[in-house]
Amino acid sequence: MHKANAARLLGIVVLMVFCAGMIGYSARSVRYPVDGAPTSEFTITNLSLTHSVERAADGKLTNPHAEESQRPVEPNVQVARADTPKPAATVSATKKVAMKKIKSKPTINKQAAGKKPAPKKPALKKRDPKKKPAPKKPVPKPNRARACPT
Amino acid sequence: MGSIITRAKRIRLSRRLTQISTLVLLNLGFLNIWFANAQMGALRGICSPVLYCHSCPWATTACPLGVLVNFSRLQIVPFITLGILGLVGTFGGRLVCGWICPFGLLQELLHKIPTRKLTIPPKLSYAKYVVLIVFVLAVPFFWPKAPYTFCDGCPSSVIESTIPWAFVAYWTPTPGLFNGFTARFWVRAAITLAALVFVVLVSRGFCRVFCPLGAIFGLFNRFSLFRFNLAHKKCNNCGVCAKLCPVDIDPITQMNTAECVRCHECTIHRHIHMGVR
Repeated sequence: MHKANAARLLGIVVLMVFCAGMIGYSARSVRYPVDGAPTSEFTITNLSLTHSVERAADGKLTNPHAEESQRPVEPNVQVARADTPKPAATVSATKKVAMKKIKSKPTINKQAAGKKPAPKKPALKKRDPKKKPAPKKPVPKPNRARACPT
Repeated sequence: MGSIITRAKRIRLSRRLTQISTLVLLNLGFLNIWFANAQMGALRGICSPVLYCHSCPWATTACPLGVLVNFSRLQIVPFITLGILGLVGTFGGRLVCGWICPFGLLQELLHKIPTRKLTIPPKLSYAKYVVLIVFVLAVPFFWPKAPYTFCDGCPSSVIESTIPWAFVAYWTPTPGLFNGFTARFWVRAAITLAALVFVVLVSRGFCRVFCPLGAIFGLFNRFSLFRFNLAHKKCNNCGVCAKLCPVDIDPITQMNTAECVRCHECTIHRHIHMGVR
């Protein structure tokens, strides 16, 4: 009887350590990628309560209520290489020649050459200072996360 | 005899105080009314070990069943929730059902309504395991968009979340707070009403037949750290403890089974007591 109880107590201690370890492991190391950003289980629980995290068709976790500006930018697919020449050095020789030609070309005074001047643009209407500006239309806000009454 | 009545009163009073204190602790969000920066809802990333809906406007913590449903839907493992449930279950089994669960308190109060009381067949208690496997784990896992999860029919959710949010939406009309009296609302209201009528007629009916959290904690009842022990020398098989038991089990023969909610009603004779042994 005493042996059985001792075994039970040992089992309880093992189980408690296992459960505490599970909590510690999750808090310390478990991160799930939501929109590409590593997110802790605590945050995912918070997000899931407002249905702000779901699994997309491609299997990735996404936040459907996140604004575009809040979404992390996906890293560029092209990886910069060390041997890639700098942009300044990539100006082609033909472009250099074209730039030289433009610089050397003399400017022509069209009026002095006897040509008709270009038609004048109609003058802009002056704004009536008494007239009030039209009220701006409110910009619709993006659909944000809200408390779920389900 | 006088000491037994005093002991029974003391146990019931301390149980009520614990249940009410837990209810207050689970609703610390009301502090946001006076202290705007209290941010009591920030703790909702962690679950409490009781059935209390996190969608309640004042809820402090998350509901473990809600977390299990949501994580099944996302197909990821809720390590923290499983750890908390494991720790609490290993400590006292279904002690939380009898002593701190607010929905248990509601059931006990409703059962005091003087009507004809019913007994249910013991085999019906296996239904809660079906509810756990099907509606908490399987349905959200395989059909994430299906509105047939446990949360969609949870009476606790309707009482603690849908009705309060309907009031909030009525006083401060905000789009999205309450979806209105849709067909889904009426289905959920009907389920809740049926569950409440059931607990008026059957003592702790929801805990015994439907509660998946009770099913989880019931697994720990036999070997938990604190469990009931019988003093064989003192017991004279009077049967009083069986009559007092709210879940209709015989504490002498069915001690520490998965059905016992550890309310301590059977301990008033001191023949049964809780201990580490």
